[in-house]
Amino acid sequence: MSTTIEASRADTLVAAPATTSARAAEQVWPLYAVLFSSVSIVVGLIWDISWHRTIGRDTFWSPPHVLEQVAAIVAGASCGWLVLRTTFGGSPDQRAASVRFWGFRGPLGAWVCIWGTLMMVTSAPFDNWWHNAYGLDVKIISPPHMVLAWGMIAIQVGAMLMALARQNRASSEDQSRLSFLFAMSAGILLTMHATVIMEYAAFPNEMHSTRFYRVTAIGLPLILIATSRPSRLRWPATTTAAIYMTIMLLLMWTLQLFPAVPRLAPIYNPVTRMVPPPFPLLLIAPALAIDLLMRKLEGRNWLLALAAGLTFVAVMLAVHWWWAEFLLTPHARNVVFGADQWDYNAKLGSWRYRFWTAEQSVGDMARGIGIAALTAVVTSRIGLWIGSGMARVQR
Amino acid sequence: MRSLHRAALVAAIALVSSAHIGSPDVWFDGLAGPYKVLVHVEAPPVVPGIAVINIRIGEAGVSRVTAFVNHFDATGGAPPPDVASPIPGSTSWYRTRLWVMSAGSNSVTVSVSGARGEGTVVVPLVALPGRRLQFNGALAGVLSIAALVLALGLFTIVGATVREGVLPPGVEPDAQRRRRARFAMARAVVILAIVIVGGGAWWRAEDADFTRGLFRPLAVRVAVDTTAAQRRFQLAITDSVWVHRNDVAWLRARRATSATPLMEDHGKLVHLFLIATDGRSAFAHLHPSTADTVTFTSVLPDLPAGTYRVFADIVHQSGLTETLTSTVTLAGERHSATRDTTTDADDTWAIGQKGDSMRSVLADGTVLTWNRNPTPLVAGEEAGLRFAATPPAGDTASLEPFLGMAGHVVVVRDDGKVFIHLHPLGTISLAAQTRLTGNAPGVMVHAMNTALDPADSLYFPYAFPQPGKYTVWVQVKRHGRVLTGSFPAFVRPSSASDSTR
Repeated sequence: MSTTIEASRADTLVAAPATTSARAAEQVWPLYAVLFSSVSIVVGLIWDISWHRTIGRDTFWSPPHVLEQVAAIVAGASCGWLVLRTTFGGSPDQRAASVRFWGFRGPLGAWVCIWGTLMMVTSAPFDNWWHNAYGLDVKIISPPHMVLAWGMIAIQVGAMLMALARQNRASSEDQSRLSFLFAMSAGILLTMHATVIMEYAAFPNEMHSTRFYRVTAIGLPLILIATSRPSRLRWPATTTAAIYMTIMLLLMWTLQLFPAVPRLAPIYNPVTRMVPPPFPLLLIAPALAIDLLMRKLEGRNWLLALAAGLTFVAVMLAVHWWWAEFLLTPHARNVVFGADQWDYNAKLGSWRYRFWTAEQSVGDMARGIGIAALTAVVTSRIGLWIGSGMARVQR
Repeated sequence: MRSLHRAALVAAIALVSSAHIGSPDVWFDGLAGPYKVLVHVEAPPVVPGIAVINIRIGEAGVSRVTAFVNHFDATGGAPPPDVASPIPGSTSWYRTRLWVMSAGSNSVTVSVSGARGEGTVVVPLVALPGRRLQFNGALAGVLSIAALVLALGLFTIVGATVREGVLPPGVEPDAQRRRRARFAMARAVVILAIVIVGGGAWWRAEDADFTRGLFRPLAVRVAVDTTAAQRRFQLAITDSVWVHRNDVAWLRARRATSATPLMEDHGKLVHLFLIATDGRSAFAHLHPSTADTVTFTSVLPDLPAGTYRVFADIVHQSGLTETLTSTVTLAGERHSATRDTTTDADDTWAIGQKGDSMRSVLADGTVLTWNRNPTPLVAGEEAGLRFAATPPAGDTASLEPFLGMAGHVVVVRDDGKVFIHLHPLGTISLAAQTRLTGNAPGVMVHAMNTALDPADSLYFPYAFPQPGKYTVWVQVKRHGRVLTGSFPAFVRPSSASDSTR
């Protein structure tokens, strides 16, 4: 596999000089456009969740929805333009750096973005029917919401692939900028995943339960490792985790500044400002460990997966066990840490300051953490496999 | 997050009943302080869902109309009310759309501000999931095509990724790479098939969960006891949810909500209607009594032999109204007409109704006239149930209140799929309104003050919910005697009507 990677890089170096810097500058805006879409989607999603927790009801045209719609339109339109331009007016170099799709040509990431946009568009009438059939937003995780989520994720993956292909083909002077853009796209995807699992793995009250560690062991190590392997940054996982934490912190600090009142009854918690997401997970700690391990154990994939999986869960446990205890103290109930902020219809009680669903025995705890560790090892190995594939993406 | 779980749970356990049979919308005609209002609430077909609140103000000078919804047992606060906007083209109608989040008994609080100050009225709303929507038609076709395009697109992307995505620019894929691409696409087909099968199973599970939570009336058993000197009609609520309503362990095991006890409406725990299935040949409005909270009995009047539809209106202390339904076949034997001392004094019945769609002659010679518009009745449109009672020549006695109301109307479709018991204040239960308002005296004053001049029209706000053949039964009281008239009505479908209701 490493031979193939080296061969691909060599080909890239041969092909790169043919692309003039002027032409590269001409084409860079679609990448920024899809990155804008990618970050808008996750911001819109977190804003929308905050909207439902604070105001309660919405419409198709609520501001978070509009942001997500704009994101889909920007991604679809910019990638559609890119495909048409490449197909009908592209230079030989541009056409050479594209893939075929039903007679058209375009970058791989652009096709994924277009596909994601169509998924998002398709989800709208499906979701509308679902609401008419089964009720308004009874559950977050429903079939039409999953269609929407996969559309969103596809746009984010598409943005990542566009950044990745450019990074993999880039000359040395563009390398750091494109590597950072790739890490940015990976951080956005990480934020998206952390938001999807928020119901089970975000509130400090969950952090003494093995469910928290079992849930976080599924996708987080996979994304961190898969996006670190093709990265040209020195600390790729750490950078990705830092971008995730930065996005979450900015949203957490910003949302709670805006006045808002519930618009649905019954109101058990009369909030006066937008309810922010909880403090982000301290992913920078396991990400740092992953970066160190990936350097030490490069080329030994199975050993690396074992070490990375076990280390991920161990560091998560060590960090969040104590961090959660702090977040449940009065010292965390402020703007900086954003703790103890609940939905408008939450019946406030002492449950706010307790750990929920914590295991009752050491045996149950050990079994749960063992499952989490095993899961993390498997997903780490899958992450390495995906990452190796991503390292080869050229178009 | 937790609230969404709770909302899901509430929807899943769906309470035990529905307000009326096939007629979920609410009509209320009354006063909001100094203002005469007509409120029409288009009930949400699912919960959580959107209720459309239409408010007609009977005078000018109104500056602001607002409304909000709350659940009957909400100990929390209410949201700021929504401002109802004037309906374009109308000078008196206002409209707003409100989210109803909790199944069961809810209240719609309407406030009117204007030159005569501010007035508020509470209108009960029973919101329960009552129908299952089919996924078919044009939407299913369009989404199926979209799904097909997306699936083909996904396979193409997977193939393009393996075939060309990892090749340096300008390098053409060789035969081996093309084979690998086809193999990857085949794997994608298998994976997508698994996803679709899993998604379908998930959807079916969600649908089954929803269907289990749909309204089902409390199960009842009816019987006629012929062993006594007079036949007695027996109605027993046998539904396990009702029988176990105080059994916390039983309810918890089934994730069911306890039904609140019954309360009297117009002074009666149960308003029982027996209506002959052959049309207008017989009608009885009885008020069974009970020695317990499961079985209700009433002396059976001398009704002709035949099969009867049974409708029993009850009101829970939550303000939730429901109609229990069954059928009963009566044998031909007739008994003494002597009134049993245990019979409710307000029981009444009518046999062999005569009249047409405009005019019904009552037992004392009073002529009841339906002041109908010449236009056909249309489902979903205000029906204009206005009646005038013309006494026999020389009789100048006024109408008297019957059970606290100037008149009672029962609307029943010939197939029994629509049934409702109306009063001049609309479809709502006065007891439920009193419970939800917490201001019984004011409401009762309004009810008793309804004009009782027989020359005046009796108005019952209502819209036939579905097309079909109906009978409209009207009951008024004169000289201490309850008089019953009936009118056949044919209701045409509306292009805008919702046939699923």
